[in-house]
Amino acid sequence: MILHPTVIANLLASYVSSFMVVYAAYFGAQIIRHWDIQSGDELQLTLERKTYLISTLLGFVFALQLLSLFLFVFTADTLCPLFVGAMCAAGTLNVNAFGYPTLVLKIVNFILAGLWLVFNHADNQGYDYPLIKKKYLLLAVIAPIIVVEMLIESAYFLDMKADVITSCCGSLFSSEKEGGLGSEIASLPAKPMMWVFYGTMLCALIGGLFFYRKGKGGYLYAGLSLAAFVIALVSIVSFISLYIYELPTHHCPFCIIMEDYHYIGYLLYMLLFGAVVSGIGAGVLMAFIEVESLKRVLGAYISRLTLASVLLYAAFTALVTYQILVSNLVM
Amino acid sequence: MPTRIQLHSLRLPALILLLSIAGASYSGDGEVTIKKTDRCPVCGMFVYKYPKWVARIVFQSGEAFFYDGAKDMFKHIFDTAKYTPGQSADKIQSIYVTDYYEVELIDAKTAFYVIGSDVLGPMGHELLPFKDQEAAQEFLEDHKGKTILRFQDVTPAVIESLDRRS
Repeated sequence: MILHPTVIANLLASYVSSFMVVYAAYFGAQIIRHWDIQSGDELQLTLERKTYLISTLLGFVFALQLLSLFLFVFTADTLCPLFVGAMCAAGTLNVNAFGYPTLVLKIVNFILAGLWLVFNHADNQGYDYPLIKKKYLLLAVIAPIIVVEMLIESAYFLDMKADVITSCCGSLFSSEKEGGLGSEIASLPAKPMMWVFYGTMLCALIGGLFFYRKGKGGYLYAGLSLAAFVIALVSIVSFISLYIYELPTHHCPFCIIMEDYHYIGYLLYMLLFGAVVSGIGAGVLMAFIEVESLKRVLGAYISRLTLASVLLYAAFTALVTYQILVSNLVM
Repeated sequence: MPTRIQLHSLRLPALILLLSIAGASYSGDGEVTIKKTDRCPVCGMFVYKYPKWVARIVFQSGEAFFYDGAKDMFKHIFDTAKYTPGQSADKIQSIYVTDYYEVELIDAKTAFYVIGSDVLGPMGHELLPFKDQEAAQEFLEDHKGKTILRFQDVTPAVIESLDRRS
């Protein structure tokens, strides 16, 4: 293990999240089994009181979970000078078999935690806890994944050895190297990928605006949001990175978060992750638009989420377009 | 004795002067300092972070490229068009690598390269350049090196074997 402040911060964040989420999930199981808003039972009163505390705490825990994705990538980027062959986070994540699985789980948990926060906010709008069982069901799904993430993340940091020669992102995301997801995405032809990217973004923006104006097509927009998110991530590796680096062969999705590139990667990823969470959240909340106690308030909340998602995707697309236009790379 | 001290103290400035004259005459572009924006065209690394490993190629057009080690420099030579579309190996005007002991730019074509040693560069196993055979031999013995190669002995297979060891 490498005793670095960022490593300790990551592990602490992970243990705090896991402990709180497991405790909350245990409490959630009681709610799912015994919750009955009509009842004046002692247990029901206790549950009602406790859920305030638990949801407030979970709000903080999931906010920490959202931050932890960026903290994790920042840590990997910070530690790269310690490993021979690593020039950015890509190499640090490759020092053992647990780096990339942790990152994938962090991305999945980011989206799930974000959705839980959206649900929680919607639930708090109604006077009769309209989404309480669904909220805790979602928590029951998230809790095991967060625990698995904690275990794999611990294995990653505890198993880190400084004498490992790792691979540079130049070879991990090379369009020539056979095998490996990074290389496969990197070898996607840039020009067609550009069309796919702009096509998908256009569809998502049109779908989002339609949903915002007419209040219809929520599920479609949730799907489009997810598609746009995946396509955008693939596009970063396939062609966006090339324009930012101004190198025809450098596809790394991690170097863009470095100081040398003015931390533009953080901005790109924040826009993207914010967009996908609000987009999917808005679509999924449509399922509860008919709930009596939410009827008056949910519509406005969904609209706000949709608008936020559309604006974030638009900002992402605009930023990418700007980077392409000012880049010295000609393809 | 005082004369010796004077001579010794003069050696460094004289070397710098010589180097700067040599630098001005061989580069053709007049620019030897590494800028913060200079990146290795092969791996994308910022070269200023690894000044001891710098290698440099200048093309006839005056375009200069820096590398964070001789290995990436050779990769560029072997596949010039891939990393710099529009350029080719026969348009290369000069190639320089950094001598591992002296930390100065030397002509890559006359350098001696040690491979298989326990010294790692920013990109893992490297070819360590030396300007004369004695220095290379001394390094090879001190650092468990395997072979000393000349410029023309370095082939894509050699580079691949270095990458495979990583």
